[in-house]
Amino acid sequence: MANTRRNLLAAAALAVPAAAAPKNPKSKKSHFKDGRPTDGKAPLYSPAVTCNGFVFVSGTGKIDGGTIQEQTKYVLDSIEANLKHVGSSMAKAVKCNVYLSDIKNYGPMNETFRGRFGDNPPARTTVAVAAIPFGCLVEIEVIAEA
Amino acid sequence: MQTPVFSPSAPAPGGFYSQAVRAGDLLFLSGQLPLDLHGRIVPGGIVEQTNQVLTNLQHVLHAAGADITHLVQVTVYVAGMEHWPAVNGAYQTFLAAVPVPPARAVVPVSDLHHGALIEIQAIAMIIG
Repeated sequence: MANTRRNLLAAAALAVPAAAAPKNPKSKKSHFKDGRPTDGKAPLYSPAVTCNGFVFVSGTGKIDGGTIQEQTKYVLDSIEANLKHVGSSMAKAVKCNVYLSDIKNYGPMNETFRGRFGDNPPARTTVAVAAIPFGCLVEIEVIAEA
Repeated sequence: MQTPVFSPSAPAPGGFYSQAVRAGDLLFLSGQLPLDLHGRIVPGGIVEQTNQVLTNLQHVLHAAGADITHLVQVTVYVAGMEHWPAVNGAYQTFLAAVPVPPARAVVPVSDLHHGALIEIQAIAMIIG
């Protein structure tokens, strides 16, 4: 599981070229495949899925630590790369969910978050959860227009 | 095309986000906290907080030309699953006139901003 997650997270930073278009042109849903070799098991999830004009970006974290600002920047950079990869952008984001491991990081997260989505930011929900996998301080998921 | 929605009757966003964003026929509503227009948690307990959150959401829906009958998916975050019965009761009362209850998830979390007991986000569909 850890390797799978790492691969998916690394895909955005590496901007691995992949065919975003669905194999079946009649399908309304397309999965962003990173094209990287896996351990032979079925993938757990896609970094992003496009469906009916919307892009759903999976919850993204930074698994190798760092401050809340560093983790937030990394996560948003990764999400931005995923959105661009499927032809969308941060400015097209409509909904953002922010999960914090500690509500005390709300302010510092906001410092890094501010301005990353253009002048008309998406709707957003922020909650603190009991835990985030791999000890992440923040995990963010986004829905955007394709 | 994404269009931000703002209702002066609901609390102003406390961070870098819009109260709601419309994209096509869908309206994505940010999580609302049980805050009044001065940014204070409303007095009372979980029932009062639930009603305030739903009222705030209703204001945002109205600002977009929609109402609670347009809700399709609702996510409720509660600071402790022990609040579920009270939340469910207040929610059911508030949405009594809605013919089709929206899809819903209730998620217990460790903390919400300002020490709130409840936060609700939603997606609505606006026809026409």
